[in-house]
Amino acid sequence: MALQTVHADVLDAVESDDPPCVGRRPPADAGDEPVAPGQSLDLTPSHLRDRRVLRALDDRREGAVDVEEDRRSLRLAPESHQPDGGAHLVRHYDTAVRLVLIGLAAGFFSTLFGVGGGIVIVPLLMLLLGYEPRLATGTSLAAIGVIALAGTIAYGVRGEVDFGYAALVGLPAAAGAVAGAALQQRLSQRALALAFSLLLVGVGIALLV
Amino acid sequence: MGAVIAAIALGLLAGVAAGFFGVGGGILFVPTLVLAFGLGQLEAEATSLAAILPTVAAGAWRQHRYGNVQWRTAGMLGVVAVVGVELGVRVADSLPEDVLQRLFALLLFGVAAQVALSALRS
Repeated sequence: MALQTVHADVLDAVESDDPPCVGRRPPADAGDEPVAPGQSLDLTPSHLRDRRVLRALDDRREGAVDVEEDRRSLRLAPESHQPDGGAHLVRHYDTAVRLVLIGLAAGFFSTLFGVGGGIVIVPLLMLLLGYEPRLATGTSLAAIGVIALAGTIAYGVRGEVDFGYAALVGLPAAAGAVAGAALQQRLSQRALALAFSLLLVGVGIALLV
Repeated sequence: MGAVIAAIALGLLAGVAAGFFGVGGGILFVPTLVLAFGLGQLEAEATSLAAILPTVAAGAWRQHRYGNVQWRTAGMLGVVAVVGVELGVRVADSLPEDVLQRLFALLLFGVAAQVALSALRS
């Protein structure tokens, strides 16, 4: 039996009842224009103008947030059992090292100058451990209590502490501090704070001469 | 008697200022004790640490009620700080008092700058 030759007389390999235009469209890249090397990027301004649309809006609260730490501070989660391969141990170790550094610096500073050490503790808690200001202030107050007690004992055994003056000055000051904190809610601070800083400078000069 | 009344009045004032401006009491107690009552710088610093205790206790209690105290962190800081405390006492003890006083004056300038800056920024 002789084989017949097959003529490819069909334009498109599609069903014959498809509309005849199928397959006759221009190729997909027909509209592209060649770009010469070194051609100026005249689209750049519009890209720059629209870049804001493409990225997140400026979020001032953006920044690393340690969700696990936050949860623990809110007491929402007990000690973690997450299978993180010991990563939390590394972080706890890291936190502990930073706490040790802060504590050492605070104790040294506090007794060297006879002040509480909040000036050191509050910024360090915020910088190194990411505390927010109120939590840093509250925690530093509690820490200062221990530090000042230790300092009082350390100086006391050397006979340097005048407990009479300490009581005469310290007890009224405790009452005054409560009043001062209450006043802070009611009075405008700015001018007074500037005056106070001038007073501090004056006292510093009086100590220098 | 006059000295007693003056000490009470200055203590009260220092406390109000400390609470109002958010600085520790010690920064004011030390110069008060030195300039008004003639204590030596070292003795004033030692006494100031003892005088801080009631203020700090009251402040910590209030902050605790606001929920602003992390006691574990505070405890760890305090325990570790004991080493720093001993170091600080030794250094303060070994420094001449006028050097210590000048260092304290520098500290006052620093705090003054901090208070002024935060007032201007707010």
